[in-house]
Amino acid sequence: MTMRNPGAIAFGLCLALGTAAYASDESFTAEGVVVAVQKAKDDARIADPHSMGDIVEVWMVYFDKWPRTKKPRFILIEYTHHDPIVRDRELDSTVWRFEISPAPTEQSGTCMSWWTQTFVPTAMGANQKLPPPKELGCFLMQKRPIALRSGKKQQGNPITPTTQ
Amino acid sequence: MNKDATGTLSVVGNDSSFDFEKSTGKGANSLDRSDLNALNGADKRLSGEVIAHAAVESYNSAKPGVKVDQAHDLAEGFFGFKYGLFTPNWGTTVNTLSLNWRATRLNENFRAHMKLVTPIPMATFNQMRKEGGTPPARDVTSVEIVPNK
Repeated sequence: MTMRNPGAIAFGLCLALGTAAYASDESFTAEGVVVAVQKAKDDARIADPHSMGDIVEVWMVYFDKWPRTKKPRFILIEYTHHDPIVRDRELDSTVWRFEISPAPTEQSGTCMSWWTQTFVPTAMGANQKLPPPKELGCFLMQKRPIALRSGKKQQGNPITPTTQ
Repeated sequence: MNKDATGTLSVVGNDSSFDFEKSTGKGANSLDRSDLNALNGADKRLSGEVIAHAAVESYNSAKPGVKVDQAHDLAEGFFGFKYGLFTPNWGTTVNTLSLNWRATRLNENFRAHMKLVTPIPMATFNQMRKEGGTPPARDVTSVEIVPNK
């Protein structure tokens, strides 16, 4: 048997492998709003510029635009950074573009592994029924999200507790 | 001996402007002995992790063309630390704060309790909570291990 079009085969193989890589661990961008922040009621989100460590925040995010199939309504994003904090009022009013990647399988529980399991709704999530966080997919983010525009508060059911 | 870069660690008795250790510029990190003592009270391995982090960061940041931020990221990969949110005491004046940490290589969580050098009104702290800002000067008074979730 002879190989009639090795270029086409190689191209097809690259596409297949590329798709597989994309589906497993490559980062992608998606647009949405932060509906809740993982924190205890009295905790303060303050970044320390002199800290030896990176701050970790976990946000619950509702998506408008999702580039992949099986669009989830909500996910958790674990944001690890050394930047100034995104202010509460920005979280309360902004549609963001997030560059995220799915947490690797061995780290799939990382979003819910931190010091508190409680989520406090932002203004964007104040009027909707938020899902139990433990049921949500966990994604990782290192780059500060990009503010796209002012968002409208989500309409829906009254707030329900989201503590696990 | 490879002398392509030299990192320098300085140990100070107590410095309220940072917790545990910080970079003071390319090739230089400072360690707070008082804060390390508090870590030793909880788990002696933790102060070793801090010193190792500082050593890796200072060495790499001393290299030409390597920024301190890049050196920090390298150090995080070996001897990383993550922190969470500040919790103030109850009351009209904030005297103490606590902060949750994780030493990532050890996968150990700990909580640092800190005393402010100058107490601040809760209203000021709440403003900081809303608008962001730099945490006030403080000293680590004790550290406790927090069980993993």
